[in-house]
Order: sequence, then C-alpha cells, then structure tokens
Amino acid sequence: MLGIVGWLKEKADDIKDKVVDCYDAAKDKIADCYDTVKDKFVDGVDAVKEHSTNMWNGITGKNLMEQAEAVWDRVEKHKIKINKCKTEIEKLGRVIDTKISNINYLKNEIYRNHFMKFKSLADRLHNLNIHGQSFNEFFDESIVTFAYLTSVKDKSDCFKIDFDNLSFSEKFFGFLSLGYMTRKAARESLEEVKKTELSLAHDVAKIKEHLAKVGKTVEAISQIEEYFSFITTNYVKLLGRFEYGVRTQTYKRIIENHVNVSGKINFKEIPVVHIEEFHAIFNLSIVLKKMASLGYLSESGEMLVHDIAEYENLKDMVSKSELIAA
Amino acid sequence: MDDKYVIKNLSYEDVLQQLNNVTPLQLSKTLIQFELSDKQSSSDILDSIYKEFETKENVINELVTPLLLNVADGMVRHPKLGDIFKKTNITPTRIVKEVNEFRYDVLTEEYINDNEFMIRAEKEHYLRKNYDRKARSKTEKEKGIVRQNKSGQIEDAVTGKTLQLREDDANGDSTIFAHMDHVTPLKHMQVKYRNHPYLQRGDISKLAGLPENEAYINATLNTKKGALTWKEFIEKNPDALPSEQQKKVIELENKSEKAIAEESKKMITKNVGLQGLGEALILLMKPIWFEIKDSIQNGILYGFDTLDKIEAFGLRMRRAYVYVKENVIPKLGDFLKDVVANFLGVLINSVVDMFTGLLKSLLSIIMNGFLAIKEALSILLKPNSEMTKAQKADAITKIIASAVVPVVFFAFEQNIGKVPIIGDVLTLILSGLTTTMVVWLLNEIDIFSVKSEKRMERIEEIFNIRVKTIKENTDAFEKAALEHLAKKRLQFHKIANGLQSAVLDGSDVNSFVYGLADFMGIELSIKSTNEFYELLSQNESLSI
Repeated sequence: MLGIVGWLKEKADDIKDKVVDCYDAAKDKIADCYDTVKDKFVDGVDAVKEHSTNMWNGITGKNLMEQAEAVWDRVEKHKIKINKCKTEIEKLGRVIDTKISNINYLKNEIYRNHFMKFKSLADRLHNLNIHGQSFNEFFDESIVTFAYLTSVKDKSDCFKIDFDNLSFSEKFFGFLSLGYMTRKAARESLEEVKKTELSLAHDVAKIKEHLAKVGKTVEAISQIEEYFSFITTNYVKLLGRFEYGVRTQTYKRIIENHVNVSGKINFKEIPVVHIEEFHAIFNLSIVLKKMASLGYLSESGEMLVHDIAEYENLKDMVSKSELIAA
Repeated sequence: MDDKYVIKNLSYEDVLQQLNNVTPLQLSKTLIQFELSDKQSSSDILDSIYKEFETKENVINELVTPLLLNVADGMVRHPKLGDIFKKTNITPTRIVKEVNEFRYDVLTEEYINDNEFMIRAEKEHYLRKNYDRKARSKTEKEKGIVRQNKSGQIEDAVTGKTLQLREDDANGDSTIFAHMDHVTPLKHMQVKYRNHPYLQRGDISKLAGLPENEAYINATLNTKKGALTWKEFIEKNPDALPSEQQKKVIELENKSEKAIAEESKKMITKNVGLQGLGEALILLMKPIWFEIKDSIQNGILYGFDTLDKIEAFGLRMRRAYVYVKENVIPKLGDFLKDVVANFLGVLINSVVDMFTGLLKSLLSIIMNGFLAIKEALSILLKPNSEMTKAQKADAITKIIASAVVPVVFFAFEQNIGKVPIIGDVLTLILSGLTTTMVVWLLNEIDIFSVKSEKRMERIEEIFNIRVKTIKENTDAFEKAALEHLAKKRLQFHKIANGLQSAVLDGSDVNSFVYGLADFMGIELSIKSTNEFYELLSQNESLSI
C-alpha cells in the first residue's frame, strides 16, 4: 500500500501548488489573449470597414442579412393575417354552436310535442305508432379549430448574427476566418428566415381555406335551421286543420249517436279532405323523423330513442277525458 | 415534383358537381369536410424534405462517437497504461457508452464489477508456464548463487547438503542435484486463488516467485514432493523425512505462507485502489466530454445566456469542473480524492489552454494544416460504403492530429510536467479532444456544409406550388358553394311558399309535401291518397 500511494501523494502535492498557479495563470491568460487580440484586431476590423463597406458586407455576409430583414417583414405580415383568420374562425364557431343547439331543440320538439299531438289525433281514426331516434348533436369544436399552425419563431431564433451588434468574439472569429464564420451565420440566418416565411405563407393559405369552409358551413347550417323551423311551423298548422276536422266528425257522431265500440271513427265514413290531411301529415312526419335523426356537422352526438306507443297515449287521453265528450 | 407534396387542383366545376351529388341535409357536413388540400402541415413538409437531404450535415454528429471511441481505446491499450485498465473493468466500449449517456441531472452510481468473470476465467486452468514466469537467473541472484562456467553450488534448504546446480556435476546422484522448488506449489496457489476477484494470474505468479517461496532442494525430494505442500507431503509420507528435517520444511512453509499473505494483501489493496482510479478517470471524462459533444451538436452557446463563444466555453468548463468537484470527488476515498482533484485541475487548465491556443493560432492552423484539412475533407465526403464511420474517424484523427495538433500541443505540454501515468492519460485525453475540437472549428468556418442551398431551392419550389394550388382550390370552392347554396335556397322557398299557402287556404298540401320530400332526398313510399286508403284498410295500426 505504502509504495504507490505515498509516491502518488508526493506528486499530487507538487502538482497541487502548480495547479493553483496554473489555474490563476489560465484565467489571466484568457483575459490577456482577449485584450491583446482585441487591440490588434479590432482596429484592423474597423479600418477595413471604413475603406470598403460593400466588400466588407460581401466578406462578412452582411448583404445576406439585409435580404433576411426584408423577408422577415413578410413573416410579420403573415403572422397578422393568421391571427385575424383565427379570430374569425372562432367567431363563426360560436355561431355554429348556437345554431346546432337550436336545431337540437327543434328536433326534440318534434317528438315531445308534435308527434305526440299527431298520435293523439290520429288515434281517433286509426292506431298509430311512431318509433324513432332524434340525434342530439354535440358541437365538436375540433371541427372548426385549425390544427396545422407552425409554431411561431422569434426573430432572435432565426437571426444568428447581428451585424450591428457584433460581439467581440464574433468579430475576432470573423476576421481570423476571413469572414467564413460570419458568412456562415449570415447564410444560416437567411435560410432560417426563408423557411419561416414559406411555412407561414403555407399556413396562411391553409387557414384561409379552412375559414372559407367554415363560412360556407355556417350558411348551410342556417339553411337547415330554416328547414326545421318552417316545416314544423307548417306541421303544427296542418295538425290544427286536422284536429278541427277530427273534432267536427267526433261531435257529429255523438249527435247522431254513432259512437263506435272501439272509440274510433271509421275512416271510410269521413270526408276525403280529412284523409288527405291525415295523409299529408303522415308523410310530413316521415320527413321530420328523417330530419331529426341526422347530424349536420359531425358524427359527434347521441341518439335519443323515442317510442310513442299506443297504450300510453290512450292513458293520456283518458286522464284528459277527451274520449268522453260532454 | 414528387407526388407526395402535390395537391390536386380542383376546378369550380369539380366542386359544383360534388355538391350537386348530395342532398340539402348532407350539405353542411360535406362543406366542412371538403378536401381542398391535404393534411400535411408546414413542419411535416420541412421534416420530409430535410430527410431527403440527409447528407454531410450530420457528419459532425456521426464523428463524435467514433472519435470518443478512439480516445477511449487509446487510453485502455496504451502500453504504459495497460496495467491500470487491465486491472479494472474498464473497456473502451464501456467508456464510450457511459460518457455518451452522461447527463448533468442524472447521477448514476454503478460500480459494477463485471470483470470478475475475466479475472476468474484466466485462472480457470492450470498451465505451468502461465504461473512459472520468474527467470531462474533472478532467483539465483537472490539466493546469492554465482555460476562459474555454468557450475554453481547451493545449500539444500532441507538437508543442508551442498547441491550442484549443473546436472553433470552431480554425477548421476540425484540427492545432490539442485532443483528449484516452489514451497507453496504453483498449482496449489492457482486453486486457492482461482475465485479471488482482486488477484489476477500475473499477481499469483508474482506471489509464487517471492524469495520466501523459492527453495533449492535435491532432485529426489523434489520429485517425491511433486505438487504437494510440505504439510500434505508429511501427512502422506510420515517416514520420508527425519524429524528435524520435518521441522525445517514446516518452518519453510510457514515463512512462505506468511510472505505470500502479506504480499497478496498489498496487491489486493492496490488492485482495488487502481480500480477506483480507473473509475474515477471515467467519471472525470464524462462531464468534460459531454461539454465538448454538446458544443458540437447544439452549438457552443446552447443553454447559456451569453453570445460570446469564448465566454461560453469557459462557462462550460466551469460547469464540468463544479460537477466533478461536488458530485464525484466527495464520493472517493481520501487517497483518491487528492489525486483526482489535482488531476482534474490540471486537466481543466490544459483544456482551457488548448482552446485559447487553438483560437490564437487558428489562422496559422488553417494555412499550415491546409493540406491535411483538404485530405480530411475528401475522406469525410467518401460514401459510407467505401469507408465506415469508424474508419473515417480514425483517418481524420490521424491526419489532423499529426498535422495540426503540434501547433497547439506545446501549450499543455508544459502543464503536464513529467508525471508518469497521469501525465500520459492526460496527453491521450487531450489529443483526442483537440482533434475533436479542430473538426468542430472547421465545421464552424463552413468547410463542411454541403447542399444547403440546393435544399433551400427545393423547399421554395414545393411550398410555392402548394400555396398556389391551395389558393386556387379555395377560390373554386367559394364560388361553387356560393352558387349551390343560393340555388338550394331558391328551390326551397318556392316549395315552402307553395306549401304554406296551401296549408293556410285549406287546399290539398300533398303535392307540396311530395315536392319537399323530393327536395330533401327523402323517399316516401305512399305515393297517393288512394294508396294511403289502402294502407289504412290493410293495417291494424300504422307505423312511422
């Protein structure tokens, strides 16, 4: 144990002192180097600069940086356009959301309200069952959000060298390498900026495309809303006509003491016009049922099953004592 | 242009036709899902193009590991250093792997001794020549034997008689012919230390060659003894020796065992210690190598707030130094602590010096080393099929090191002093690092960038065409959608108004209902009121 350890320890002690000196010396050396070179070369750099700016720009690559600046202006413009489109798309998204909610409401009304009424009226003439599903649509926000944006770079990420504020080591390296290093940095900056500009231009085109689609979709959904609204309004009106007809026929039979065992009116014995109305409402119901089962934006939503069966309605009618007329 | 970047051009007519093929109820979905371009984002495309152009830009990255392997290999196989690393479980591959995996935030503490296998393996079989390595002349010198014309005499360690070293001088009497006997037999030692993790084969042969273990006895006795220890021999042959001789041999054996025990203890400690030293060297290298590698791969400024490269380099070295000082040195035993701390200081200082030297003489390096650099460049540009990465790294190391490094070497020669072992390690590490740095510097001054302009051209070409197509498609879409929506609106209003009037004035609405269903694309199975009558007649209940 003693041999090697002792020997190493001795040497280590020797080195220790030298190292402390070395270390300090190293620090000083760097500082000296810094200063000497600074003095010698910075003057040289400035001198060349004075005499020939163009050549200086060419050597150092400053001309490339000037190109890069011009391209960067376009980058900024793209960023603005993209933000505008984003805001617009969000706004339209909210509009669609409202409309979808409204359509959902109208769909539900069809079953809760209109079909129930139809059933209760139709039952006077004939048994009627309505089975269906209304599609309660969820507004899927991903439909309208734009997913492809390039992450936006800062100017400093792209511009790897600032010729107006060259650090000392940049000048130092630059001069010693005959401009190699600064040209390289300048070229890389230009390349980086060009890439950014092209990516953003691509993004602008894509987001504008998306905006166009969302815009037209809003119009189409408005149309759907109008379809629902119009058809249900007229359905209700038609029901009113039909109801009036059915009631009249019911009273007529009561007066004539013509009450049927089943409680129903024989459809062959009533005026055609009422059957026509019945027919029309029957068909319109099919149309509405179909419309209520569809999604108009995406597959996102849930189906609500409706089953308007006979006996329940009968129960209803009994409780409302409509069967037994005054 | 490649197919994968092309977007299909859509005309106004194309869009209109697609819209006409769907019902008004499907229109909104169709519009929002309309494909006017593809799903590739800008960054997807850039990545894809860069992959196409995967060329010499990666050359620096690809060189880093082979260069490190070179340094590690040199360290481990160095003739002077061979012993240190042989007695440890450090292989070049292990060094490279650990150094490459080094991160500042991950402190691994594995000191796995997986060289036990190797150490044991070499002791597995007994081959005399592997253990009996000490020259007889040395033994004779130790025993004070002087030969004259090949003849020599020595006292028999057991009987006390005079023995002849030369066979002829014994005149056929094997009781006076000298044999050199290992008191504790070689085979016995091999078996005893076969599983010892800290004694290698070379150590055992040294132990066997200790003066206390070597004794000259007569040939007859030696043959009888064979590979037994004296104790075993006496047990087996209780009458072979007179009692004082028995006492003598036991004394011999005890002395030998004592000497072996003491010496083996020293060896074991040294091996353990050296193992620690080897480990410590690797621990030192890790953060320093990490800094160099990180500078090459991410740029010297990466992760630091300064834009000054010289300052950044200094900060990196300081970071490595602090790491080792706070995380590595405290874990070492006292003995190693001092050694390593000093070694570290010298290493860091030398690296800093080397860097400044490099910078100062950059221009002269380029001018003087120009031919070497040109050669290196042509090697780098060879395809990997002609020359593997490892070969390239090797060739470049040699070329640059021989041509360029002498310019800079002087700076740290002074710091190392004449310290053996550690000085050599330092030299090796530094030469490897210097070469790496020169390669890095050459990259910085742009000698190696190839095709970046071509790549830029391609990027511009692809993006410009795509943007144009997307714009055209969007315009076609808007025009067609506008027209289609207007048309549908008009159609609906016509039917709707008709329906509304009919409802209000009490006339038959059925034709309008059919018109509506038709417009919506909904099939109505009952086509007339007559059919409806039939339906009512034939069915107990209607179903919708």
